[in-house]
Amino acid sequence: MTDTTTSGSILTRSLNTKSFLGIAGFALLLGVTVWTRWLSVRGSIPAEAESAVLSALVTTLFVAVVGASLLTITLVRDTAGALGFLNEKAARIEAGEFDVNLDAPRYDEVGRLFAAVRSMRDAIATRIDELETAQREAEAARAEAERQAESLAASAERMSETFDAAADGDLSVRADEDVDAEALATIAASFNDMIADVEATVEGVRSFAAEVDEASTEIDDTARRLASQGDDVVEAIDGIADNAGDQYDTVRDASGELSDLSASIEEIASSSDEVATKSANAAEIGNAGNDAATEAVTEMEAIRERTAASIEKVEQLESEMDRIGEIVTLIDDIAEQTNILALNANIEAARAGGGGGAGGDASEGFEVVANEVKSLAEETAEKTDEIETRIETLQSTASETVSEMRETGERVERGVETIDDSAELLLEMVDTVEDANDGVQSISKATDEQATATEETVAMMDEVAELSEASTAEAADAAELVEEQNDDLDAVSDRIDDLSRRTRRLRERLESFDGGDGAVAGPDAAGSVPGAADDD
Amino acid sequence: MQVETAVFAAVAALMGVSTVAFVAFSLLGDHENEYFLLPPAIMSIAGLSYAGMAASSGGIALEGLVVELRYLDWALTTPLIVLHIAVVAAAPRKTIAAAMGADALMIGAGYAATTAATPGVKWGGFAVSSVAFLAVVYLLLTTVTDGVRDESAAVQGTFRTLRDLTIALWFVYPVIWLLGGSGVGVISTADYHFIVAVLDTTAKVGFTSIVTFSITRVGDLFAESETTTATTAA
Repeated sequence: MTDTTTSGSILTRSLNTKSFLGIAGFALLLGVTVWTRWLSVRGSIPAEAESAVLSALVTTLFVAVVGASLLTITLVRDTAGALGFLNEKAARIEAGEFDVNLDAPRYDEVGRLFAAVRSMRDAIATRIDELETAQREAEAARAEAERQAESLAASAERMSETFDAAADGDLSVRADEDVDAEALATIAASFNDMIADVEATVEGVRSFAAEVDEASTEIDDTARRLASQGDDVVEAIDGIADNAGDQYDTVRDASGELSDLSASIEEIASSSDEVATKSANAAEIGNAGNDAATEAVTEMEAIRERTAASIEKVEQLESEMDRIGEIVTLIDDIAEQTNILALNANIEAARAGGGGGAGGDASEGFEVVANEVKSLAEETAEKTDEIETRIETLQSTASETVSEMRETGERVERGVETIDDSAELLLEMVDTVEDANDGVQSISKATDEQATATEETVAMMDEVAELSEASTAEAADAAELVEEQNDDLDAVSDRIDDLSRRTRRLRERLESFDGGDGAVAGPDAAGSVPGAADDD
Repeated sequence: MQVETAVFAAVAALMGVSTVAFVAFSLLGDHENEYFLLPPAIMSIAGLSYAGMAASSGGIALEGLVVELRYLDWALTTPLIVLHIAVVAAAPRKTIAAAMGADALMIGAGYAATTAATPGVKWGGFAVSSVAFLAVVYLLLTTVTDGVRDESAAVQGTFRTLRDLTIALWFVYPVIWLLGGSGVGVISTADYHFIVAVLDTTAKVGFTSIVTFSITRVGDLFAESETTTATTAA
């Protein structure tokens, strides 16, 4: 398409150039003509008519040039367009498009050109049709000849295949005697006779070959079975070996972890022992404290009892002093009465001296005695007062002592209570420590159990390791068994070899018999077994 | 004056006949859009304009309006011709609008130059009109032509014919305007009208003829490219 367009525009352009040159030449020629005519008429016409003439000439020139241009463009365009269009169509015909539309509803040269191209196109199409028909006929004839040749070749091919089959050992085949070519039919008949004889000969040996085949097959099966069993055993041994390897790895890992665990347990055990020792010490100390408290309480009780005894004695002392006080009072009363008596004696003495004189001397002695008694009474009174004062001092001292004693007793009681509390606390502490000790003991026990379990596990690991070793040993045994089997297989193989040798001898005998030309059809068919041994 | 009137009347009659013929042609084909109405529209506007000019110059009616009628005709028909060429080439809408605008400017400035009272306005108008004309030519030769390259060879041929005919004939108008009474005055006013009448007839009848004959030039020209915008040329 591009090609035709390009060639079409080249065509158009050349026509355009030509038409442009033509118009330019025409305009030049006309211009020169008008100019010379104007110069020639200029002098011979009146001046006032000059401009009108010039105008007329120029007008004529323009109209003529315009008309010529219009004519040229129309014609050139018409022709160039039609030619370009036809060029396009021709290119399509060239490309094999014979049904392209070449109708042009015009009856000029272009129309006739289209008609000519159309009839040429039709003629070419007809000629191509004729050529194609002739070619088809020639093809048909050639195909018929080829078919016949192929038929003959096929017959020969079939016969050749039959011979090949017979040569390969198939003695049941028969050549097709019903063929077109007579020579081939004769060959086929001869071959069929020959192959029938050979077949009869081979048939006699076939039974023996079958027996040999059966025996070999059995042996072969046995050998194969043994071989497959050996393979199974080998697989099993491989499996055992793999398992033992896995077990070994697992045991090794577990052993490592158990070692770690064992170390941890030992640490716990030593720590718990330490704690147990310390708690036992604490319990002992607590018990000792409790004992000390009990002793202190006992001592305190003793102090209290003694204090109580002292208080009693001091009170006895006090009552004794009271009794002494009473006696002193009595003495005091006596001294008072004595004093009164002395006074009375004095009075009597005085009355006696005034009434007689005879009695002067007696009154005077009496008076002295009375005075003496009076001084004694006075002295006694003084002394009893002094005793009284002293007894009061003693009594107050005893009272103070008693109150102090009582205070001491109370303090002792409070101390006893405090010690009792302490003793209780100590007992509680002892209980707690004992509980802690129990806990530690149970931990220790559990740790011991763990240690035991770990040891048991280690023992089990050892057993597993032993089992692995046993597995390995068994695998070795199995390997030995396989070797024995292999020995058996060797024996079988020997037997197969033996059989093979026998078969080979048979085949050699058959081949030696087959070597003779035409001997295949001989009567001595029993020993002639071509191909039978090969089939085994 | 009588020759001039006769020329105008003859052109009007010719365009009237052409209008009828093109209307008949356009009714024959199958049309996918309204662009087939352009050739009859162009011809009828021009025909009416020339009839008016004949009446004006013959003193029957519209006296002294020859120039106005002519520029009114051009102001309507030349943009339609540009539109038709661009549509055949399947040009983009913006390009079509720009070309038609430049064309209208060309006619407007030309009218100003023709009726100018002062030389300044006259030559200024002529310059503007010429530049607008060159713009139209440039657009037709570049952008519009680029659009037609995908069309078939036949459509390209039709487009080139329309484009080249239009550009070639339109180049003559400023030349004779310069030679005529508005310019150096070599050509008389009557001769100027005559040449313009010939050019108008050639341009419009030639244009529409090419469009119409494109249908019949080769039988399946537009049957093959029926789906393209170029079918509007029918």
